[in-house]
Amino acid sequence: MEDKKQSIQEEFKIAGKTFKSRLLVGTGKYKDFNETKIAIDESGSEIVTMAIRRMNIGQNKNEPSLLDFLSPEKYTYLPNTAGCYSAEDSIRTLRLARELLDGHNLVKLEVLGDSKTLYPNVVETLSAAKTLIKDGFDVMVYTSDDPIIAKQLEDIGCCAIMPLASLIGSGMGILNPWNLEIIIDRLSVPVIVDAGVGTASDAAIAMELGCDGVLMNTAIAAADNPVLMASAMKKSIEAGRESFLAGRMKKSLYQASPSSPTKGMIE
Amino acid sequence: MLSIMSSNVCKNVILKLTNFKTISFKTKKIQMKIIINGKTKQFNKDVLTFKFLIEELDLVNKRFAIEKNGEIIPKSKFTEHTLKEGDKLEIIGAVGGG
Repeated sequence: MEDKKQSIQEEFKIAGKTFKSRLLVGTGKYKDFNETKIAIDESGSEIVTMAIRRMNIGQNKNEPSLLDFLSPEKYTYLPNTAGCYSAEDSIRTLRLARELLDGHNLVKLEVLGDSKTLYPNVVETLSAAKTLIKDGFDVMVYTSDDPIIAKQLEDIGCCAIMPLASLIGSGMGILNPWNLEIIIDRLSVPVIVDAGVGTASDAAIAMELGCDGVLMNTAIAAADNPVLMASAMKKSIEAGRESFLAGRMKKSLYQASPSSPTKGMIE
Repeated sequence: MLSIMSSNVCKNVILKLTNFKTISFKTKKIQMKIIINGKTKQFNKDVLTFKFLIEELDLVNKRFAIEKNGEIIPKSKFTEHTLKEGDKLEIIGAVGGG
């Protein structure tokens, strides 16, 4: 852990590109595109995820598009494979995304294994990642918090490993900080908690553990006031990061330590 | 006089016949069925280009990507490709997601 801390510089690099914000956000579940835009601007995020779906042909001619509200020139888009349950479907989706975004290579791979838990199918994920990397993609990968799988994904060339903190959209927070710490300790590519963050303190905890970033969607979009929550998340990510870099004090389980001088008491 | 009249009748008959033929040719519809995003669409054309299709579907100046029978058709290749009966297209765009 010590080496890892010392090697961290205050720049956040993914696939050779430097970012200021360590908060990555999704664009789903908002009331409308306007709210999406305001909340994401407030979050300070530079990397935003999106999904690929069939267009409504012949319906709603003037229906606004996500890309009109959040310009791909301003934000780094991270097309995802949400809803894909096989390597084949994920690869097909991301190749279409690359064509849609004029050759953009940075993607979020997520191959799901179960529709109730949306838990990743790591076997299909590994297989898809290999093909995508060979095909020139920079793959940020959603995975379980299994340190062995995380390491294998790094070894085959994924540019960021994104373990879940708890189930997608559950808001259950960081359920297994120890696994996350093992992953952070073992890997050299950025580790980004993806999924499960429910509130600002969850994001701060992830960053205090030494995560390089956090990706969230529902925690902001499903808050009563998404714009205010976006602002809270921005601060919690920054606070958590600084706290990690500062290095927390040692815990003393059974012995208090007074903050005020013990000498010079009035007698 | 009679021969002139009968030749006129003949002319008219011939004209009607040719007109009829022309009309019947024009009304014979050439339909091409293609499947777009899972739905069958008919086009009254014998040659269907991507350029025409994109105009027809109101996709001009929109951001989308097309796959034909499982193969991506790059934007730069739209002019080279035509469609044929039974082709399956997937036309996709970006939506909000996490």
